[in-house]
Amino acid sequence: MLTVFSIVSDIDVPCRAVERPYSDPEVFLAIHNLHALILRKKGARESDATGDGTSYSLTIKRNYESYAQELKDKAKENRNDDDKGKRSAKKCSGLFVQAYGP
Amino acid sequence: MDLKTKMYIAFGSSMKSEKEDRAMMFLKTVDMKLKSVRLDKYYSESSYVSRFDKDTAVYIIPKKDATLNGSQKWKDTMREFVTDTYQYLKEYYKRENSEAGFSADKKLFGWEIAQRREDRVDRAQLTIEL
Repeated sequence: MLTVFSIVSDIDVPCRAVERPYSDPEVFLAIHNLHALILRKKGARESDATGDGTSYSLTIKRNYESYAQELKDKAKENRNDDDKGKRSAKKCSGLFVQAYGP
Repeated sequence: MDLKTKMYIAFGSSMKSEKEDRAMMFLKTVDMKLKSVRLDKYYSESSYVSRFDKDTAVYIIPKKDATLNGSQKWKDTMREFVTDTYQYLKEYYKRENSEAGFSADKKLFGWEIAQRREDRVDRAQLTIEL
């Protein structure tokens, strides 16, 4: 979306610049009020509601570089083991991940 | 989620459990009266049902080891489940709208949130919800 915005508006905005206001309580307040106004406009004063929970992954918590390094290290270990003739199915799958991984 | 408009009414996020009740706290800040609410088995507890207003009908499937211990609202909910099961389940299964909503969100905005800080994760989610 940000790329499209940059092309259309000719304004180059890094994604971090957009993410920073997420921490601003005033931004939260503005979004919250917008939410309340939309609900009011839709006439949802009384509601038949339904609720549930879902989970999202926070992949950014796992640093890409260290993750890739981890995979490489694992593959190295497996290769060393193969040289010693200790090959197993589990270790083969580790090599497979290394070959086709990120 | 409001069944009529298919809009999210309240929202909350947590790093630990969905039971942390942030959505209920959010709900209090929005000028909205709940006529009825459908929740999954995870919320099938007397204490949770009691948090809703007296006038709010709660549709919930009792857990396997459920008892009648608890508030009058919980007892009334269980009575309705036993006496008019078909109608109760008919209402309860409107809950699938929530699942469909989450599914559509994830397809549209992705399965992951690229934020590290808890407050930013919450705000990013709120924006998606809006």
